[in-house]
Amino acid sequence: MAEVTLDATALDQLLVGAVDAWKPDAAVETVGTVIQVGDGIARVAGLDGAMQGELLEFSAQDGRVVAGLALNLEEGEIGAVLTGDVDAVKENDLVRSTGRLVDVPVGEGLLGRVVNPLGEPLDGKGPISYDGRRPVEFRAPGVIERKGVHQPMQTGLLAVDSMIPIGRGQRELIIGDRQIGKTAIAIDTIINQRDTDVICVYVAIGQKASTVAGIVETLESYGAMEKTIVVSAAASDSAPLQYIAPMAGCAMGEYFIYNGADGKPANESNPGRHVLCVYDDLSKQAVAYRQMSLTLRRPPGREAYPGDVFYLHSRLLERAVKLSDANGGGSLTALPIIETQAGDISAYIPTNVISITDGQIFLQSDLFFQGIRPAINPGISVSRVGGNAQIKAMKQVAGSLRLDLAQYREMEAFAQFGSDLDDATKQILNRGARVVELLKQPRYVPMPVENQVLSIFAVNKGFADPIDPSKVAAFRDGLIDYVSTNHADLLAAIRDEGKISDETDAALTEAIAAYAQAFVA
Amino acid sequence: MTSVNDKNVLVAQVATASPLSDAARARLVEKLTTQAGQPVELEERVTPAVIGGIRVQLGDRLYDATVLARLRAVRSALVNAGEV
Repeated sequence: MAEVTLDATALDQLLVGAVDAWKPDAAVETVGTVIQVGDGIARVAGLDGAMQGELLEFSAQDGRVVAGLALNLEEGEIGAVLTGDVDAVKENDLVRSTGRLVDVPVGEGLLGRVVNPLGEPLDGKGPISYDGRRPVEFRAPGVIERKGVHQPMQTGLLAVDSMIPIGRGQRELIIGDRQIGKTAIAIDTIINQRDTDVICVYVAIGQKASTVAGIVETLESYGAMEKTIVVSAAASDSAPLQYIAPMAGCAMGEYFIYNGADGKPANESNPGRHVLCVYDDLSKQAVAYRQMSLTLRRPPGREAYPGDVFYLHSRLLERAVKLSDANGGGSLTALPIIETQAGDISAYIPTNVISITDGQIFLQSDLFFQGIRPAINPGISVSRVGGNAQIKAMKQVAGSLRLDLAQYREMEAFAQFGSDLDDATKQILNRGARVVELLKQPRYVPMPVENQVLSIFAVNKGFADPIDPSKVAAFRDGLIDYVSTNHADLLAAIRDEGKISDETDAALTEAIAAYAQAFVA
Repeated sequence: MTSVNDKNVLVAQVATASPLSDAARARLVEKLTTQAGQPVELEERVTPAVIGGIRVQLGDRLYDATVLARLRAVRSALVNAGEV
């Protein structure tokens, strides 16, 4: 409807006009009847033409309409899960089919908003204007439509961008116990995208509403909320909503990669956008799916999960893609999060998702409590895309980082012998301790890639060796300040050229030496 | 609810605000029998809540031309106006 001032007569005319314009359609509808309802499940007789995954409308006695999903198509009846107010539906209620599979509204209007998995706003900022609808279940692009991952997705975290680099279009799993910093990594990554062209979608599955509110507030205060969509299926939402939440979030992100900035389909001349999707967390989605399957009487498998729980995650994560240039070159990067129990990464769901993703970031409790935060274990964390997703400068400096840390871990047990060791071992221990300190990073302070390169460069050249390990972080931060103020051209050179040329190398060494001399612990 | 009774005749559920006149009943039975190809019996229920019009359900086919249904449809059209 057009804009109208709040004037009684104008409103009156509008309403009368709208009512007159409405035409009743006298079609014959196909309806079914509810024969059994309970546990969030309704069994429906009739509706012969129902599709698998179709949206059904249950008309309760008092006129309320509750949505449901047709999941079990059996010989005499349909098993449907109810997404809304389950108490409203009673036996003998009428069920209508909508003729469409579950879909969500998508569009630019969703940016900066908090919505539920059906696209309805939850943040009280008014109605959202959508640009269309996309199905929640979408067939992932095939081989020919894709291109290899070659652009970096900078997380801003030194430990990740140097040793476990993530590329645009990759799936990188963040896995660890509870309260270990998994969400923190995802939020820092989202904050780091605020000055880039990447649109972020954060899907909160089964979390406390207060936690999601806190996350939204954090993103707003760091200016990252404008380009972020938060999809929330809180712990009090029904299992079907928690089940479709990640797929709905993915569909909202897919709108941006398959369409150019003008809203038309992306192709070579109309590039698609780049999206980052965080699924926090998929363990809760699997639990919700298990609840739905067991109440639908589907046979339970291992750990009582249904037999197709692998397919649940694989079809979601396959939708992460780097599209070929002919398809617009957009990308959707997925950061799924899985919570383990007591560090057991060989349980059913963790092993499933590890085998699907292109690498994982392992967070460990003992590292966390030693003060190493982010508590990433670089030894067993991996990124299967690796160097392709790094700028040359980072590859130049980060090459030996992992090796240094591995050697350090091996020798750590000998550290207690102090002066009884040979020089080579002492050097490994010294350097390793300083590298560990270098990789520690506080929350909400993502580092641009040139600052990361500078820090690692300094440590590699040995400038941190004479400094006490506990002062290394201060040394790094001071160095970044110093070089940004006095030698900003060097940082610009790294950023723009993407590599450290010989002149830059010499100039940097000189600058760092000057700083190191002046650095007083 | 069953749509077939013992004598293998289809039963249609009819809801109206006030009782059907004999003429209306006869016409309805004739139309439904022609369409179903089988004899059809009516199970009438006077439902003041529908305000006016008629609702006929035969098996899993529902024809709802009640005033109540139209009011609900107009309401949802107005409330959801502009929605995609």
